[in-house]
Amino acid sequence: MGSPPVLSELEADLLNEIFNLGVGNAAASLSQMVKQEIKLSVPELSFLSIKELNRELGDNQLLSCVSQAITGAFSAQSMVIFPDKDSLEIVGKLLGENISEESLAELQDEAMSEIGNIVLNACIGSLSESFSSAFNVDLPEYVRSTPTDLIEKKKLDGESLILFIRIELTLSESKITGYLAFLMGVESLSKLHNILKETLNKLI
Amino acid sequence: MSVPKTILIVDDSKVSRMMIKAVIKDLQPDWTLLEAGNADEAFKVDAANQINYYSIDLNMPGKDGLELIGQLKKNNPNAIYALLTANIQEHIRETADSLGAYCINKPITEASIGKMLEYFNG
Amino acid sequence: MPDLNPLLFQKICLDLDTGILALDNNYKLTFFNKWIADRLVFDTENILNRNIFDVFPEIKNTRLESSINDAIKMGLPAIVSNIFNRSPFPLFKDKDSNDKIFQNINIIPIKQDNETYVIVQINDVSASIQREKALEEQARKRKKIETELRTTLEKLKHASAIKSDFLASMSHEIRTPMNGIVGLSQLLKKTHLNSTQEKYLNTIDSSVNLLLTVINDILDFSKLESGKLLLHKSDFNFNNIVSHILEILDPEIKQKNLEVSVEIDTELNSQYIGDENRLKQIFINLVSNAIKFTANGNIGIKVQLLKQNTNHSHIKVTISDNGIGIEESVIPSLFEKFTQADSSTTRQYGGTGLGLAICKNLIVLMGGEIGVDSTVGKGSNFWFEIELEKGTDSSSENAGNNQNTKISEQVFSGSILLVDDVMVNRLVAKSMLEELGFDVITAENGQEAVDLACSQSFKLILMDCQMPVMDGFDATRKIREMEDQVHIPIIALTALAMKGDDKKCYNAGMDGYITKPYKTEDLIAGIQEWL
Repeated sequence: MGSPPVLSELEADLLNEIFNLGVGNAAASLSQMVKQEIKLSVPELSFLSIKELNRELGDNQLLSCVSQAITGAFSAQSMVIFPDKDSLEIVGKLLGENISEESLAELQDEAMSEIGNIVLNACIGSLSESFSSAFNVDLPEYVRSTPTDLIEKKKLDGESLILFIRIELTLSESKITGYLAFLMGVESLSKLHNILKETLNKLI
Repeated sequence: MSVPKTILIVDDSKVSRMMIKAVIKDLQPDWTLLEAGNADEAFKVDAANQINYYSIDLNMPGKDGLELIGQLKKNNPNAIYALLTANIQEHIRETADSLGAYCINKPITEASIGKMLEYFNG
Repeated sequence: MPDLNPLLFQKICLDLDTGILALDNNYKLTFFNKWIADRLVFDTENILNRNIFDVFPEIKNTRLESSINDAIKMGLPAIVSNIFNRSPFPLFKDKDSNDKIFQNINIIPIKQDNETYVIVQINDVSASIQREKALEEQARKRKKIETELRTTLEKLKHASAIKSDFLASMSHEIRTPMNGIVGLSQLLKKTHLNSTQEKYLNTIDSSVNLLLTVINDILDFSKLESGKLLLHKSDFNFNNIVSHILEILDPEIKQKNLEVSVEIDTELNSQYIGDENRLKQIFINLVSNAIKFTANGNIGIKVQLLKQNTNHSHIKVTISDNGIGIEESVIPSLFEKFTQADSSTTRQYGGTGLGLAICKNLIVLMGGEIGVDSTVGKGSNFWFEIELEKGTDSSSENAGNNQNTKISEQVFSGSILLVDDVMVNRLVAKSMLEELGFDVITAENGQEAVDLACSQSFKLILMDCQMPVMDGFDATRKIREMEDQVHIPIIALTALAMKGDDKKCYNAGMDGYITKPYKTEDLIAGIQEWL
C-alpha cells in the first residue's frame, strides 16, 4: 500500500492556502449567482487510504458526488461530495422558498452538478495559478451512490491515495459539512509533492 | 522619499505572510515588517509597536479579519487597514466599508499587493 | 475515437439539433450552426470572427462571461444551467418571437496544437421548464386544498367540542330546576288541596311531564347525534315492559276508548339483557303514536321470537293500529328528525317530531332495524327487530312486578345523609325520604358531608355531584379514605347523564347513581339494594 507523503509545515501551509483561495473563490461565485450570503471554509486537510476514505464517508451513506478528471502536472480524479440529504437542502436553500418538494427532487441532480462544477473549477484554477501550470479538465459527472460503489465506479486500485479535504458550507444559518477529494495514484501524489516543493523554493 | 512605515501582516498561513513580505520588501525596502498568525498574536505585537498599516486576512480560525480590524481600530484609529480575501461578497464589502477598511482580492501577487501599497501611500 | 472527415464533421455540426458556437482563444466567434442561426433575431451575416462579447453584449457580467474566460485562460469546462442562470443568450423560439428559450449551456475547452478553442453547446430546455411549472402549479393547488381541509377539520372538531360542552352544561342546567318542579309538585299533591287547587296542580303535573318528555327527547337526540349516549345493560323482561307502559298510558287509552291486544310469544317469558329504560322509551313512543293517531279502534302490541341461537334471540316487536295510516311517499323520511307525516299533524297532535328519530337511533345503537308498513285509511304497523342475549335465571321473572307493588308499601328506617347545594333539591328529597320513614340529615357541600360522615354513622349517603367548596366526587374519595371496616353506600344524585358520567361516579368510589329529575319511585329504586 502506498504511504501518504509527509509534507513539511510550509508545504502543508501552502496546500491549505491554495484550497482556501479556491474555496473562497467558489463561495464568491455562488454568492453572486444566487444573491445570498455563502461561506465556505477549509478546516481540515489530510491524506487517506481507500479504506479510511470509506470510513470517513460513512460506509452506507448515500452521497451526492460531482467529479472532474484532471491531467497535467499531476493527474487526479477531483470530487466534491455531499451527503445526499444535505445536497437536497443546499439546492433548496439556493433556489429559495418557493419551490415544491417534487420540483426540488427533479432539479437536485442538475443543480448539484453546476454547484460542484463551480467549486471544483475554483479549486483547480487555484492549483493552476499557484503552480503556474495548466491542467486538462473533463466535464463534470454527477453520480449518487454509497462510498463503496463510488470507489468502484472510479476504478481506483488499492494503491490509490486520496487528498481528503473537509469543507464547511454555511448557508442561511445552516452549517453543512462536505468534502473535496482528489483521488490519485502514488506517482501523482509524489508529483504533487514535488511541485509544492518547487513553488515554495521560488518564494524563498 | 516618504518616512519609513511599519506594517503589521496578519494571516494564519505562513506561506501567505512570506509572499506578502516578499513583495513589500521589493517595493518598499525601508519599511519595518511585523507579522502575526492570529488575532491574539496580533494584539500582542500591536501593543508593543507603533503600526501605520495593517494587512489583515479575512479567513482565520478564531476571530476573523473583520472582527480583528474592529478591535484594533479602537486603539489605533488613525492607521490604515486592508482586508485580504479570496471571497469578496457584498456583505463583506459593506462591513469593511463601514470600518473604513479597503478590500484586496487574493491571490497574493505583485499586482494585488502593489494595489494595497498604493492604497496605503494614499 | 474514430477519425472523421473534417468536411463531413462540419456538415454534421451545422445540422445538429442543438446549438453549437465555437470560439478561438481570442474570444472570436469562429463557428455557429443552423440551430443558432434559426433562433437569433438579428442578422447573422457579419458576426463571424467578431468578439463574442460584442456579438452578444447581454452575456457580459453573467456567469457565462466568467466561465468563457476560465475556459480560455485555464481550460476549465463549465455547466451553466437554466436553474441558476436565466437564458443568457438572446435566442428565441423563432425569428419573429418574443419568447426567449430556456437554455442549458455546456462550455467545453478543446486543446488543439497548443491552441485552445472553446465549444459552447446550447440546449433548449423550455419544454421541461413548462413541465416543471405545471408540476409546481399542481403542488401549490394540492397544498392549498390540504390546508383548507385541515382548517375545516379543525373547525369541525371545535364545533363538535362546543356542542358537547353545550350539551353537558345544558343537561345540568335543565335537569336541576326540573328536579325542583317535579319534586315539589309531588309533595304538593300529598298535601290537603281543594278541588280547584287539585285541578290546577294536575294541569301543572301533566305540563311538567310533557315538558320533561320534550326536554328528554331533545337531550337524548343531541346525545345520540354526538355519539354520547350510553346504553345500559341489565336483566329485563318483555312482560314487565309491556305491562308497565300500559300502566303509564292507561289514561290516554281510556280517554280514547281504545282496545289494546297484547301478544307475547311464550318462549319470550324469560330474562334478556338490554337497556330496559331505553326499550321502554321506544315502546312508549310507538304505542303513544298509535294512540295519538287512532281516533277509535284497536291497538296491537306483538312481541315475537323469530329465531333462536344458543345465546342469541332474534326478536320482532310490532305495534299496530287502525288509525289514519301514512302516505307511502312520506315513509322514507318518517324516521328523520323533525319530520311528521305533515305539519298539520304537529298542530293537531303535538310533539317535537323527534320521537321516531330517537327510536331509530336507539335501535341502530342496539344493532337492530326499525321500519313501518302502512296503508292510508287502514292503519299502520310499526316494527323493530333486535338481537338480544339471554339473561340470568328466569325465576325472577316476576321480580319486576313485585317491585312495583313493593315500592308503595314498604316502610323504611335509619339515618340518611343528604348532600346537595341547592335548597329546593334538599327540600324535595328530604320530604320524600322522611315520608318513607328515614331520618334525614342534610349537608350543603362536600366538606360538610365529610365532617358529618366522620362524626356520625349513616345507613346511606345521597351525594349530589356538582357542589361548591368540595364536589361530590372529592367528598366520596375523602370518605372512602377515612372508612374503617364499614363500607357506607354512597349513591350519587346527578344531573349529569352523559357517556362516561357513570364511570366518574364509580371511579370516585360511589356505589350507584340516580339521575335528576327523579320521582319518589326512582329514589327508592336507586337506594333499595343498599339498605
